[in-house]
Amino acid sequence: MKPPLPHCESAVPRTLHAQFEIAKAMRTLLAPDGDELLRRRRAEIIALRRDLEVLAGDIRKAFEEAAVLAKAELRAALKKYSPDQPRVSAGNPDGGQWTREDGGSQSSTNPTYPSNRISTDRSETPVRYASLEISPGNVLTDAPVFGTRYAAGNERNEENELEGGMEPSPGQLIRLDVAQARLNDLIAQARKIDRNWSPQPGFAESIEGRILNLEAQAQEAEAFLARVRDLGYARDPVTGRRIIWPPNTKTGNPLIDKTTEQLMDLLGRVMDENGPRPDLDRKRYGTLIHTEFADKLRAGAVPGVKANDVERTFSLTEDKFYGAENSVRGDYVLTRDDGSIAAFYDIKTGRGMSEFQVIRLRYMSNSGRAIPVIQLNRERGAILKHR
Amino acid sequence: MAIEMFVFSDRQLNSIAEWQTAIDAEGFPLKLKDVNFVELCGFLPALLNGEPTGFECYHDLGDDFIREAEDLNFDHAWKFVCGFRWIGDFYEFQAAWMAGAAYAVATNGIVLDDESGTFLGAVEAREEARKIIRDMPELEAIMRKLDPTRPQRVQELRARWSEKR
Repeated sequence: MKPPLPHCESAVPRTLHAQFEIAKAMRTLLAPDGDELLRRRRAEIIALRRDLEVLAGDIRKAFEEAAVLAKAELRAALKKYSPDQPRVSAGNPDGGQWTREDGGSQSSTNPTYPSNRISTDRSETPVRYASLEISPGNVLTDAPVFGTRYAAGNERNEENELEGGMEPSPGQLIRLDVAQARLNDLIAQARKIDRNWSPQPGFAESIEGRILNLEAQAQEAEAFLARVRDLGYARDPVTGRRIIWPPNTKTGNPLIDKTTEQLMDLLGRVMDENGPRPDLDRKRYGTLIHTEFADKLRAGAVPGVKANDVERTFSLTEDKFYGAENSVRGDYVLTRDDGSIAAFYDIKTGRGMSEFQVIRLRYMSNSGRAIPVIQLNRERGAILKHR
Repeated sequence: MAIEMFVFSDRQLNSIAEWQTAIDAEGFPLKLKDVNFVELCGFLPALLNGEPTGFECYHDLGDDFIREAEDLNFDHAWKFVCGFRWIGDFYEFQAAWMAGAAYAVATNGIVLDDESGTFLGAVEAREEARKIIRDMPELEAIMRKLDPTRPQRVQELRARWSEKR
């Protein structure tokens, strides 16, 4: 038999409601005086306000000192800048840099060399008021300028702004520098695809206007880069991951799918005819296969192939011939009767094709992402890499 | 696109003149056209033994390339990559390897032979380029046999180069 549990008498009522009421009453009795709490809080707030006022005063003083410094450096820089001062001509390694009348370059000590970074050493790098511009490669050039610059020859305006009490605050200068650096970075990215790409030029008198211009130009560059990225790999719209199709996936376009089969067949024949070549390493062998494949295509091994579409040159300039500067070439470009591009083919005897190359080819040929890029590899098959 | 090699390095050359100096120092018979090196993004014309040729050349950031090349093992986070591409043409192939090897030596970089997926140190790349020069007669014989359009291309190029000058 189970022994009975010990029984304790208690004054505390056993119902939950009664226990809650007792607890509430005890909290009220034990709590500090409400007025006392209020007094303490007020004292704390007053102390905090006092600290903040001291801090604000310190910051104000620091900014005033920085402004005086910036103004002095700016004046010194502006005095040394003359738009009429000769510069080394483009094409010269020192192209665009300031030069003396006698032609000697003074670029190494150029006091107006613009910086796209926030200066940490004021004694060496003056605050930039860009009457020159810095290129994405940090090279001082004669190239078209972007973003923050005063109107040509308007150093007088700068002086007026300074003298008239409209000088930019250190905070504005920092924002200007940051915006300029961001724009330079974006332009450098854009020019990896199109070396001539430039944002719309902006013009503004006030420093806030110039900052806004830079930001607008940066947005323009970002929009361009987004459009360009869209020419690359097909990606899952949700996950952003690359979509990889199985080998020999059909496009559904009879012209393209038939040509793909014919080209794969030709590649197989070229490789069979050459056989193994132990005397050639992979790169020599790859070059050999490409050479012979292109030769046979030009000679009409695949019906309908136009010789000019074999290793065709694409360029953003009018120069679309073999050897044109900054041009790109595809292994074979399938064109329709009206001359429009139906597909790009890339023979691969080595590793795969990079997204960068796909983007460049589509961009330079003015083709959208709907134009398939098909990689031909004997072992891996015809791979619809990008669609 | 076509066939590729890449040079990875932690510094970049700044001009064609600097690159040409590196090529000359190696004794390679290659003259690059003096273009804007910083904005180079595509075909770079050159003279190989006085004959017009060239190759495609691109600058890129090392981490962009490394991120995409999941099949390769990099033991160093290289800052820069310079890509070289050539079509089915042994002259372009030779020019690209000479220029690439000289670039690797000058920047103390490494070369990725994209066909085999293997890396070569700068000294190995230089040796490979020299071997390519030694193999030139053999490679030219292959070209003559396989690509009868080549002489016409060279002739056209030469004429255009003359026009440009």
